[in-house]
Amino acid sequence: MPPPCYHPRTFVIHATLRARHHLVTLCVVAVLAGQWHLLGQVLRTLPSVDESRSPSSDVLMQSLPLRHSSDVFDALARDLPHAGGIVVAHGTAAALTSAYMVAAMRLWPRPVAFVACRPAPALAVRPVGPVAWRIDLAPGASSPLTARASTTRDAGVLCANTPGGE
Amino acid sequence: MVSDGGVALAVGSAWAMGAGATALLWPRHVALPLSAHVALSGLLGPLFIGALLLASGAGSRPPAFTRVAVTTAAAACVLAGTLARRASPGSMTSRPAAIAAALVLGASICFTTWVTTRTHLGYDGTVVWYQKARIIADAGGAMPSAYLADATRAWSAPDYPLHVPLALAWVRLWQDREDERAVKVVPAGWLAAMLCLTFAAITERRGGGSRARALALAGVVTLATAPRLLVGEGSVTSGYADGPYAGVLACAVWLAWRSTWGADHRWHALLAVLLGALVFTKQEGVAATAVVLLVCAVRGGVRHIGFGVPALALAAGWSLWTIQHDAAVVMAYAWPGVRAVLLRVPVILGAYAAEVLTVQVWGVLWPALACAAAACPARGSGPAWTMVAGVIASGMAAFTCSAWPDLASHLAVTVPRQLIQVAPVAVILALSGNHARSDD
Repeated sequence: MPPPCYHPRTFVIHATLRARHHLVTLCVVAVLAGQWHLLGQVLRTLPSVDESRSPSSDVLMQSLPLRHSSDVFDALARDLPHAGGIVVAHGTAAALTSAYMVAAMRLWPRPVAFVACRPAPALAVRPVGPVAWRIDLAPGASSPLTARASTTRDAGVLCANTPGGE
Repeated sequence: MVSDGGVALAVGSAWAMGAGATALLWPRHVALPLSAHVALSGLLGPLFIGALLLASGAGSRPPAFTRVAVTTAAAACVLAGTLARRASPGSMTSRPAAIAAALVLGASICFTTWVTTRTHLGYDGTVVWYQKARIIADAGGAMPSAYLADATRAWSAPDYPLHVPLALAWVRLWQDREDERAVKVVPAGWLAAMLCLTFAAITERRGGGSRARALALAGVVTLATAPRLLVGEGSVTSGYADGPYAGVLACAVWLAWRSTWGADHRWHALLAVLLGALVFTKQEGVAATAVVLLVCAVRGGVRHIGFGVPALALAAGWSLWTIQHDAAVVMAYAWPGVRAVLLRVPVILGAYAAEVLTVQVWGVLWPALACAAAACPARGSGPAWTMVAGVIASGMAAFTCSAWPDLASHLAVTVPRQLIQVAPVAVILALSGNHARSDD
């Protein structure tokens, strides 16, 4: 069989195509090698298997901290009146907003307002309709979450009455 | 332990519904590869089951009736799809190669599913999407107008579309006892579908063959091991909407390309459903739909973009319905003035550049994709890349009108998620190069 007769231009085109194929392969290898290295670090940061039925809610409540938040709020939802209420954060809004949101989510269909006590008492989410209860979020307290009957909507009064008071 | 049987039935019926719908929507005389069928089943199944759930919930039926009715509808859809494709061409693949590819694909799906079981729903995944899912499940499939009008829940974005909440609510409806861990099967399914889609699209665009399959599997493994896609807020394994949005966007761009930018009307039904899924998943789906339609109009002519009308009507209808029910509209955007817009442009461009070069979470994915795409550009892929660029540009443009007190915070939260949304389609396009199909 005679040897293949390449025109120089054809040879250059073929060589370029081969080089471009190899470049794509090289790119893929570089990506996978880099990600393989990163993956080891990422997998080490994954949380362990959670026994709680509400691990995602628990993460958002971790500033209290509160574990098994679904069980806590299931019990609260059975006892609280169906009227609206207020979550009082004895801390900054930035630290406790996610905990308030989980509380509001789990207490549906009640309207749930939000008061942050620091740096100054302020209504972050205004109450709608009558208020029949309050939930105090107190990080660091022996009972970080307490619920009780209350009709007050004044932020100053709500923050002055700490859990165990009123 | 969760109520495994119920959750498995929920997921199985959703995927079965998707399989039936895909069989009906895929062009009758075009071969439907198994990987594409599985991908579309996972992407469209939760959408259709959610739509049925919503329709069933509107009748205020008890949950048991809803479960039986929706599952029966899914079974009917599978039957109709099977009958419809009896005479359709099959997908020819040599057995050993198919088995090897299936093994790699299966291992990737197992790995990402395992990671999904170890991550949380995330911030928005919990208080925005899962909250809506709980409320919908509690109402037997309906979205109560009391939720939309509840001013104390305005922070949960009541006017966001319902694709993700409905999919999660369907699983929640089958649980005897609420368990947040169980609903993670939904994002795991979307991610599995996205991996199958990547394999199907790259293999098809490269015209088949061993190198096509090898590069398709490389694309699958790339997505399955990308740290930014796997962990963190907005990741595909979390409960955010960016995962399904990314999968549906990639599928829409692939099939728009395959339909020769809408000129082949056999694809219109499927494209219409995919664009509908985009707008029913995230609000920015409207912008993505507009970009897809614009590119198709420029390439194929305005007369070929009728498939976008249902999606735009759906978006408009949903917005009007939420406004009618007094849903609070919490806009993160407002016009700041021409000078502020101009001053923000370099900051925004810098944030995107910094994100794509963040090696700790992306590795060298973006520079390598750019290099691969430039080295071996796929023939006829220009409009598809224009769609990707248009989607990114629309996101950038939105930031110029950010109403957040601190633009840097807004960028830090949102830019990674926007890149997650386009990562699968970018991988597909970058690895589809050189061997374009003869019909392009």
